[in-house]
Amino acid sequence: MLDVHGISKWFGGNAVISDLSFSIQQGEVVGLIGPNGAGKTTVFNVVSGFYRSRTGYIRFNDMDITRLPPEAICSLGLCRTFQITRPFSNISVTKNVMIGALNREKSVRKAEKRAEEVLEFVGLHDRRHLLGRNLTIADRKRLEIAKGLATSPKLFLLDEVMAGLNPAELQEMIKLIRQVADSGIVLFVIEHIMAVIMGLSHRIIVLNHGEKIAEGEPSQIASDAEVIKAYLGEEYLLAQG
Amino acid sequence: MKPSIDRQQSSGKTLKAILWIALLLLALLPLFIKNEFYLDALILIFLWGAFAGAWNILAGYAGMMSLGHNAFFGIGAYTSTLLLLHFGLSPWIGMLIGGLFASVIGLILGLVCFRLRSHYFALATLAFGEVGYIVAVNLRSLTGGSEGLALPIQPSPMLFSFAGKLPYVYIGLLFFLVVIGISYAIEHSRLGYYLTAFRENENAARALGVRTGRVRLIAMVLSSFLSAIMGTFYAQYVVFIDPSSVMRIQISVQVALFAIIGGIGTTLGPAIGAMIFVPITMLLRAKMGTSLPGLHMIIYGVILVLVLIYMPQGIASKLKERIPLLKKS
Amino acid sequence: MISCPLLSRNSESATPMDLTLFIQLLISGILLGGVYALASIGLTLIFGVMKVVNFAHGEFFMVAMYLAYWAVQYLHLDPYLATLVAVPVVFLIGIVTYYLFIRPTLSSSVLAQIFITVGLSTIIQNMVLLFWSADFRSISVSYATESLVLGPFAALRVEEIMISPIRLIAFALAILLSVAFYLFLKFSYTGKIIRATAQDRSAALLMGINTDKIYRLTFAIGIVLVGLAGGLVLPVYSVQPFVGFDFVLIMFVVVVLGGMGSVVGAMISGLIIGVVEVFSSYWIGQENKQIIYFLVFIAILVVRPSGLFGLREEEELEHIETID
Repeated sequence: MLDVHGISKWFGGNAVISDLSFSIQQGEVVGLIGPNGAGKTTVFNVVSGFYRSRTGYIRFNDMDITRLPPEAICSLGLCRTFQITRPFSNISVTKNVMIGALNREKSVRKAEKRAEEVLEFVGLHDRRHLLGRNLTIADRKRLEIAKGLATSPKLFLLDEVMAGLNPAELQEMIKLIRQVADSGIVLFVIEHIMAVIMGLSHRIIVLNHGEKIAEGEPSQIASDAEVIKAYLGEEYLLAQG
Repeated sequence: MKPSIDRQQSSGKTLKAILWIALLLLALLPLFIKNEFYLDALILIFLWGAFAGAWNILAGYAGMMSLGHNAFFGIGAYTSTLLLLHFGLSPWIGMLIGGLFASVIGLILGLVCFRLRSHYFALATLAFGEVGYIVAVNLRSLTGGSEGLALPIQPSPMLFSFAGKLPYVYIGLLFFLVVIGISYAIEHSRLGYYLTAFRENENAARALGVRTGRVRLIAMVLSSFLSAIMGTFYAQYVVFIDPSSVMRIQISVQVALFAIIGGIGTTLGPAIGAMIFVPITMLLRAKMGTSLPGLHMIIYGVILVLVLIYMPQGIASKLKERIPLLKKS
Repeated sequence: MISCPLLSRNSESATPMDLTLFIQLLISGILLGGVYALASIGLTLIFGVMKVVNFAHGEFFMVAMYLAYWAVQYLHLDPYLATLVAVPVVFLIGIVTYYLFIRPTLSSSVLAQIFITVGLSTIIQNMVLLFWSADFRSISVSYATESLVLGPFAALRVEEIMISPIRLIAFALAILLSVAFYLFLKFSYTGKIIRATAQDRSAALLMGINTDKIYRLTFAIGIVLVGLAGGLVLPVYSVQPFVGFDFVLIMFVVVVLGGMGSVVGAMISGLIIGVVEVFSSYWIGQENKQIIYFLVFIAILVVRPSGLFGLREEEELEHIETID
């Protein structure tokens, strides 16, 4: 479904990602992990069209999206959320989601209906009249997901939707994500909370310093030496013997 | 719960009905006014209200503060007037050509200023507006320079020229309603939602598939087209144009003022602004003549500042509970 | 504006510009530019520290000119001394303006910030129009009426170069004040606090800096600087209610070229714009020269909005947070 080959991104003299390749198949939930500064969000930015990679290519459902702008990529069915949530502050939750829905529905009335459906699905329906800026963190995260879902994505990029949630909210979010995955949407998830991502993903890609250092099933990754070294340092690895 | 909602709905419907009847009566009122002063006031309210509404499409809905809209107004006025004077072309057609010309210029401006945001866009449009004024003054052979252009006075409906004020009142009303209608249509359409998204958070909008580039240019083109139309209307009513009356930067500031105080980003905000300020200006001018120059501008400025500090959503926001038309989109 | 015969439109001669004329124009441009630099430093400072674009900046230039004018007329002061006398008044005006107009909108929307200063500009312009009328007023300086003459430099094939003494004095004082301010900003304790606040407001707050006081001071200083520029050119230009508006557009071009927030940028671009203006004026005439620097303005905004020295604002796209 998504085929990323040899992408890179520089800021100034630093290569934030270099020569990165991976792919995502239909029906998967793929996790993207790595220490801070590894370049995970940058990967999302490149894939979703906010940054342009000067090398390599990105193909989505057999279409070359390397040079497409974000709005075009979204219309093709690849959507992303933002790590720091970006609700439209001065309009209602419903209208927030309608913006997403209008990507598929041309009529405002139909978009409103779709928005309400999505809000039901994510559990924001009773707060739909609140203004974007008046939401709690947990609700903002939900709204981020709702907005994206309204665009009827085939591949949904979730950027740390768990961050900042308390344990109860966390459980609900995990449930929600599972429901999204069960509804047939392919997920590509960045997450820091190991237990969560290990539990959710079929496959995990590990990034460090902009390079892929490991890829495989959660159990493999957990015991991979490179991964452990990246997170905990060489000394830890040596100490383990 | 249900009964109170129904009651709300039915009182809302009654309110709407009353509103329509009131509007109809108001529309017939000019036929009975003999005092030219009041007719003049109405015409100017419609003119400035429509122009402010045109500005509001770009600044209120798309959130792009233009300080150079005087250029579009002037382009409209000069285009139709020059076509009339040199080729005898009916200003009705000249108006559309002027609108088209302004749209093209607006499109180019929009493309050139593509990446500029807020302050920078305001500055760029300010420069653009100033260039408009300078061109109008210096291209003497074309525009008549500071001396301006006088339009023929003989009444001829085909040439957008009428004997009494009444026709201008109704034409002005028509334009006024058209602009309000367009604003309303935008607000409740996909374009309106997309403009709101663009205004609120451009990147978030793009991530949801909003073609922000296209949407922004549409607002720009519409706004410049309508501004030019009002420029032609001005020319035909006042039958004299010069850089000072149709191209000064102050014109742009004035319509911005009307829209902001009335309620920026709302359908009726600009109209309300015009309805408040045009009469004030005219009264001041009537009472003081030219003995206290600039007084009305001082009052404008003070009210603008007060509104921006204490009531930034404008007057419309105070009334929005009662009438949905005034709610910001 | 007092026109200099050497700058009149020279459309008849197709001869290439000779060295004398070139140097003459260059010097005139630099003299002019020095004043532009001083006038613009305040504008860029205010933006750099408070992120406020002061559309009313030119009106303070104009008001200072009037104050200096009255001081000359009624106190019979030397114009440059009169400028000095006007400074405390202008400073106070700056403080009052800050409290009434700037402070209330520091956390408001961009719309509010833009139009408050636009509104302020309208108010000041029209109050001056109302109380002091639209008459042009000017003064002359008794000891500086004769043009200074440089040269001729036969060896370089350069003939006499005329220098207007009032422009020279204005330039010299403007440069002096600009450099003095730059040194103040760079080396004094207050200057460092101002720069710190400009760089990172949150950090400044955490350091215990009273940002409100700094904003107030910065704004007042910015107003004083442009006021000084106004006073310095009183002998050169007539004062009328809209002289500020004429100058503010130039100031914006200078500030944008130099980079919003860069004092050094403003100083250098001031000189550049002065030269550009004089040469444009020669080639396409006084009335049309404005078009050139507006085109320059729009060109800068489009090609490199951060200007020569401004902080390279990362592309809109790169404002995506990259915590990872």
